[in-house]
Amino acid sequence: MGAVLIIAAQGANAQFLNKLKQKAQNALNKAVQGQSANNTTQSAETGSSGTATASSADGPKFNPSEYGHQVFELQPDEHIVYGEHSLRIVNNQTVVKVITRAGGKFYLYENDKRSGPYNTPPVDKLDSWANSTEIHSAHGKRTDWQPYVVRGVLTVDGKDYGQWMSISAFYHNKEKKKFYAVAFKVEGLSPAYYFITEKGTKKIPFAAPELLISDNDEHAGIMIYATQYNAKTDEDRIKYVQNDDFYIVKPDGSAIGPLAAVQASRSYLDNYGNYIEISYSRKAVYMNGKQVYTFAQDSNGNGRFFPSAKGETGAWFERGSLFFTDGTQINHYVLQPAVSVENGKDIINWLTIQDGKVYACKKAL
Amino acid sequence: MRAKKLYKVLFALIFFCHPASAQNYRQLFAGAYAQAEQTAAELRPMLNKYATACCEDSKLMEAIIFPELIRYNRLYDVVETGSLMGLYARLGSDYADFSIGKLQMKPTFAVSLERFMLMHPELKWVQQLGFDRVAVNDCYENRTARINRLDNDEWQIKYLIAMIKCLRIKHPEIWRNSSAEQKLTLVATAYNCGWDKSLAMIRATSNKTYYHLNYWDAAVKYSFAHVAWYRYKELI
Repeated sequence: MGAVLIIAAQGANAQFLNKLKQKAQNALNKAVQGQSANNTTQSAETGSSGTATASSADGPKFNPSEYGHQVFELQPDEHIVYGEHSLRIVNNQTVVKVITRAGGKFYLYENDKRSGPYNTPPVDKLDSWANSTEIHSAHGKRTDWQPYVVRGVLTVDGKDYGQWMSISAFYHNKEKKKFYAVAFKVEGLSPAYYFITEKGTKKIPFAAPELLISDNDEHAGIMIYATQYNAKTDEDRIKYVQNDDFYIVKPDGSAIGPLAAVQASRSYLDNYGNYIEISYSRKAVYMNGKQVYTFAQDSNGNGRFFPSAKGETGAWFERGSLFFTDGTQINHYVLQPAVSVENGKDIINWLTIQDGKVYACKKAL
Repeated sequence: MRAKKLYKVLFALIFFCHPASAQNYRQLFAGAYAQAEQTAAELRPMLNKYATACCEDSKLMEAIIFPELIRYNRLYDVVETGSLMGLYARLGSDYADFSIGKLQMKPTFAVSLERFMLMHPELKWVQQLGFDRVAVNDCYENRTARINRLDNDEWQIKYLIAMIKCLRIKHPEIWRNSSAEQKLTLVATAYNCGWDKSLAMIRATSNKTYYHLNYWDAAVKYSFAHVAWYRYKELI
């Protein structure tokens, strides 16, 4: 057993080092490309690093001091390694991390503190790197449930959650010791469906194969068609209607809905547990079924909506720009937007890079 | 002459009988493969439209983008990509050169095609696709316009057609006496590693295993061209 653990640990370590090495190499490639900015050699790769071409800093005007403060200023001949920056909210405070290159060496800024030099980009210290997982997916978080089930009994973090006939969806956050499972068993002569979490087990009207889980893993839900949600018999459940109203059923048994089908191209639960739907065809964002934002005509909806907790206001992020529901627009100056709460107010924070200076900006939602 | 023939046979054997070609990618990539199929189905009417208009093989087009569709569905991060788009629009590719959209195209890939087409404005297909009206000077307006194009499915397909057309001009040998598999392998590799690379380089890269579905790296990697060929065989 000990040997197995050592091998497993070595495997995980090797994977970590491999990942780190690859990321550092990528960052290094980018940095080297940045050095040869005036090199007109063209590269046309779609899937791997390309070669930089000459560029100029121009575009819309923006005064970052209006929205925040300067975190640090680059030294002469110091450059940011592209893509290697992160903004994270820790205890409602912004933590800015940026990797730079100067004189062939690499440096890490953590807010205004500069560390280094490093021979390779210290990408492992970036929050975006630490947060990325190998199963990161745009289509739902999931964990293989099989190692958690022995003879039908679900055991998570050392606790037994009973015997189940089948598990249709499962996700486990080992760090937070949180999990979500949808399972069923036969009670009497009928199937009974349950939402299971570390907080307990709740009977729900039906099951679904995909869990909706918020980025912070604090909220989860499953989509159940209205005809199944309201079914009185098993036969009614089978005779369900798609593309009709539906409910988002949460682990405590509560539900958002009924929600009308809005031809959503993407949908997710936000960090407050709101159900957000983005409809490209209708050029609109819906929160818990209510339209809260309408896209500009040239938008194709590849963005993210950051609502306030009450959902009455918010901001749409797309292509480096923020469009607030109060009409404020910040074009192409927004990096890594993230929401915090200050004195009870919902705030959106972001990074801006301008004239060799890095700013932390924010605005109430 | 005989030795040359023998060399060709040996080359073909080594080149195309790699064990990875026997992989069942549908099974291997499971859910991600199924999601990519769904995305491909959504794009198909537009692929067919432009393939017909420009006399190209829509199935080949769909096959070579398929590995990117698998990756897009699995790794798309709207906040990170959106941040880099803004950075690119303002500061250029020194600050951000990254894959955009379902077909995972980089701004430098788009620029290389735009510049090549600028030298051939008389070609009918260049006009048909609207590239004769695309400005390439490196400035904020043009970079913003490029980002907007790359963030649009229809324009991505136009860039894809343009790449195949440019490849026909740059490397016409690909279409001469090639089997369907050889042709697809080289076009898919060119799409992935750089259409403007030398043919020798494209050939050398075609069997390399760089493709994976993880965010940064993976212990097991596959050949981009093999995944594309697997998909092509399903389509024909």
